[in-house]
Amino acid sequence: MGALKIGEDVKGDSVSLKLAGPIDEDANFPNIDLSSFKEITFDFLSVTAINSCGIREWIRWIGNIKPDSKVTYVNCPKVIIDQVNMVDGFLPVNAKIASFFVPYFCESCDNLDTKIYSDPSGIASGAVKVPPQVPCSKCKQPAEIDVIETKYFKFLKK
Amino acid sequence: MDSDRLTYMNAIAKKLEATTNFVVQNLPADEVIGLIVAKGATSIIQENSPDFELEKQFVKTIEQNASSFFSDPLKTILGASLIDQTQINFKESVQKSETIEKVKAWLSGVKGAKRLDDAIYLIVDELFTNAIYNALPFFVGLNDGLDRREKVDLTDRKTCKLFVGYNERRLILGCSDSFGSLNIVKLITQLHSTYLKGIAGSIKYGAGGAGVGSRLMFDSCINFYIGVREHEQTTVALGLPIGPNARGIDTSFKNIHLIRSNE
Repeated sequence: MGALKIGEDVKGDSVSLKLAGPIDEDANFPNIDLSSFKEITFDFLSVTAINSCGIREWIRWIGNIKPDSKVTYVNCPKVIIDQVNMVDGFLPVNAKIASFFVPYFCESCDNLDTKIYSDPSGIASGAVKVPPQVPCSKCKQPAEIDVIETKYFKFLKK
Repeated sequence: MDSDRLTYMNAIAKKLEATTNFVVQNLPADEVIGLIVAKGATSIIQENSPDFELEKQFVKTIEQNASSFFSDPLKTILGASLIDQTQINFKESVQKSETIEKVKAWLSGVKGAKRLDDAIYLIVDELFTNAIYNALPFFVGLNDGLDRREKVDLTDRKTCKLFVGYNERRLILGCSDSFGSLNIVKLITQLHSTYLKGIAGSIKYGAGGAGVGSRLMFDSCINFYIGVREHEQTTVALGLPIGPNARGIDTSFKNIHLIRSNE
């Protein structure tokens, strides 16, 4: 478990940022001016955790994104969706979530799976339909959705 | 600290001088904290909680002997239902990752704990940083904790211990330090602020912690135990649901206990 790493891919006035590791007090955000980009994509696929200082540093870092920039969050794990749901400003105004993970837990073999959801029309309309059960990737027994849906999908109404 | 805030905190402190227990039904988290602020509740337990009997027993125990919580928190919380426990000592800020990994490794053998990985990480992280960065400065009378990027070593001063235990339905994560510097009123005031102003509106951007860690922990748990023996010991513990019915437990309905002892 090391410090947060962020990969940057700049193409003209667009930037794609891939985050890996925990977002906490040790996070060193790249010294790039987010206000200079019209399109910004944050990829959270490899984010492992976030704590209270991480939330503060994140909000501080994204604070200078221009309101008319197109901001997209992709591959959001549960820890990121939880913050989007709880903390105003964690997802900038007008930003969109393009894909996120839904956790499933198998009582039979104690396995935790995650399934990605990326249906743009479902996300846009707020009518996300995810199966309440999926076959466990380890034992094939039914694994049940491991979130309270009314709470977890609250961000779709933001 | 401005004088209005100080007056407000003094008023809460006054209400909390007496031990006042409340049994409630389906009271949401914000109203639980509101009840502490308004009525000086020192224990609030939810009647429909699966742990209602254990919670009642806990209240009874600390009424008779609050010091038992400080000497053996896991036994005081879980009683005879405690299945297994461990403890990890730490004294340096650089031990955070290692401490989190030790907890997760120990819990890897506990059925149902894997689904709590995110909450466990968060809670251990926040407990650890509070103990390492806040306990000492608050002990010596400072208002803010240390900068979270500073390297801190408590060697030759005090030590901190993280403890973990579980029964069939509940996992307890907690931390004790030997400073006893946690200001319960300040913590409750800050928690209350996160409900009034939102988490983002309550974040502190100055030195020290962000000021919202207690809210993040509170959101993750169903039981919150905050104990202080002034200048002697702070013990904070949180309960999370495990076991076959854990998924169905709504973490909005929380039990909370504020425990003070002069013994």
